[in-house]
Amino acid sequence: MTADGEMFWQGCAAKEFRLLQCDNCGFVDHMAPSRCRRCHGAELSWITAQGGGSIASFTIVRRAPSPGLRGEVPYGLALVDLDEGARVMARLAGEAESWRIGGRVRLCFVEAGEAPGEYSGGQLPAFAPEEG
Amino acid sequence: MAHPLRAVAGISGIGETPVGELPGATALSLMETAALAALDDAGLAPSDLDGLVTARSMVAPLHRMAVILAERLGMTPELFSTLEAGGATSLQMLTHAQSVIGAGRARHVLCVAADNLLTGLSRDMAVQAMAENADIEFEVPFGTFPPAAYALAARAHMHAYGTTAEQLAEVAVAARAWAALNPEAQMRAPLTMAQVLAAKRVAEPFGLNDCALVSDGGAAFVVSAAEEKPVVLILGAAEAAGHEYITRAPELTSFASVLAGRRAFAMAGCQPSEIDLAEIYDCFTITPIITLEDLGFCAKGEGGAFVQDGRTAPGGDFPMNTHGGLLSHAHPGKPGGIFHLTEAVRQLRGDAGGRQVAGAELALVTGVGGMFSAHATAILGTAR
Repeated sequence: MTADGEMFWQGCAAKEFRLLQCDNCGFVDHMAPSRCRRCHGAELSWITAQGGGSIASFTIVRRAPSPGLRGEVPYGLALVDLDEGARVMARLAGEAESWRIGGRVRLCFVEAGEAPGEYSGGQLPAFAPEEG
Repeated sequence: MAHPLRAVAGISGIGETPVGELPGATALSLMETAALAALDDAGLAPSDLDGLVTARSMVAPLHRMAVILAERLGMTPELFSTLEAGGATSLQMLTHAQSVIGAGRARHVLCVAADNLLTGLSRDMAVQAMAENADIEFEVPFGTFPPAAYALAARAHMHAYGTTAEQLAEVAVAARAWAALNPEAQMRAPLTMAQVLAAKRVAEPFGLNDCALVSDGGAAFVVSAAEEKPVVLILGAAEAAGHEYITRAPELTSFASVLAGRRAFAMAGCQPSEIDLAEIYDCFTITPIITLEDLGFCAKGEGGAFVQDGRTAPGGDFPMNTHGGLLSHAHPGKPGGIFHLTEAVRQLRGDAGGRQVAGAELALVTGVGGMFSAHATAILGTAR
């Protein structure tokens, strides 16, 4: 795992969704760029997302991508536009009937199953539709 | 002024292996079979070649695949490269060959791609390997894989433009109808829209028939300088790299295919309305719908309506994926798109038998790698 990946997943263990913000231009990004993708600035600082956002798109996965996920299907997988400006991939939580593109969602965490990679058993970021 | 690479090269030979389940075959044995068939078709010997371009194998991830194949074919090419652009690799091989011929560095370049994805990898291993098409730290842990990533684009398209599951299904039904006319295709049994819609779901809105097959097989083609009088000329060939990861895609309903298409049409000096047949990369049913829009065959958002009512099926007025595509002919992984190219050549030469498109003179071929990430477009014609 990269050092930035470690920072992100340690945040998840503490139920925080961490993002990187450019010290120079303020651009907020996800997926641990080494340079700001807007101004190419080299100084980036970790911030914690407030947890609000909206669904850019989502799918319901019904065929497990790997043997370790057989016990988890079906699950909701989404791209969420956080209020801070970054787009992130995450699971969806709550009732599938309430998931809709453009719908407001809030961050929560779910127990991670045996997803491929090194994150089995940890806290997986998920987003649930806001009430009302 | 015409682009300096326009019609500087053409395709002088094609060769294909059988497709489907090929027990005992390896990526290299299939590559050799395809390569020798293409050389035979072109009337060339390995010693006539200046260059060799290959794709990588997922089953046998060898380094220097081009060198290994050169050794097997008994050739010592000056130019040799192994490219990696996922499903766009086959057309990337074409643009590389065209470029080196245009630069005067080669007269004949052999391009080869094959793999044994069906028998070489178990189904779970194949799907697991495909999970590597996502960021290992920020996407894979959530359980994404290619069907899910393309489903995100499909859902976004349905939401923005009212595209329906039935319109997606039309792409699969048309592909199967063409495959039924192709004795080489892996899946030839009739397929109805009702069957596509009722098939087991993979990642909504996709069911099994909305997803490409898994196959063994491969193909090869020889790119030769125009002075060698190839029947099929490369009028335009271009690429475009966009995002790599679906989370980073600037938009979910339009991709860098816009750029690859624009560049290819500019080089060829023609318009979408002049194209006689289209071989559009179809890893999922949403892919051709978005690609047709991005290339200007219809307006953004109208791709679903464009493919409706059997328009791309045999007898329709827009022949598309006339061999059956990745959805019904074959999908051996990275080499999948090469059959779109060999089919276009076959059609332009008038050799397509029972599925021949009458009067086909201008064909367009696309390839897509990754999650709508890497794009290539080629425009081929029989006349300058």
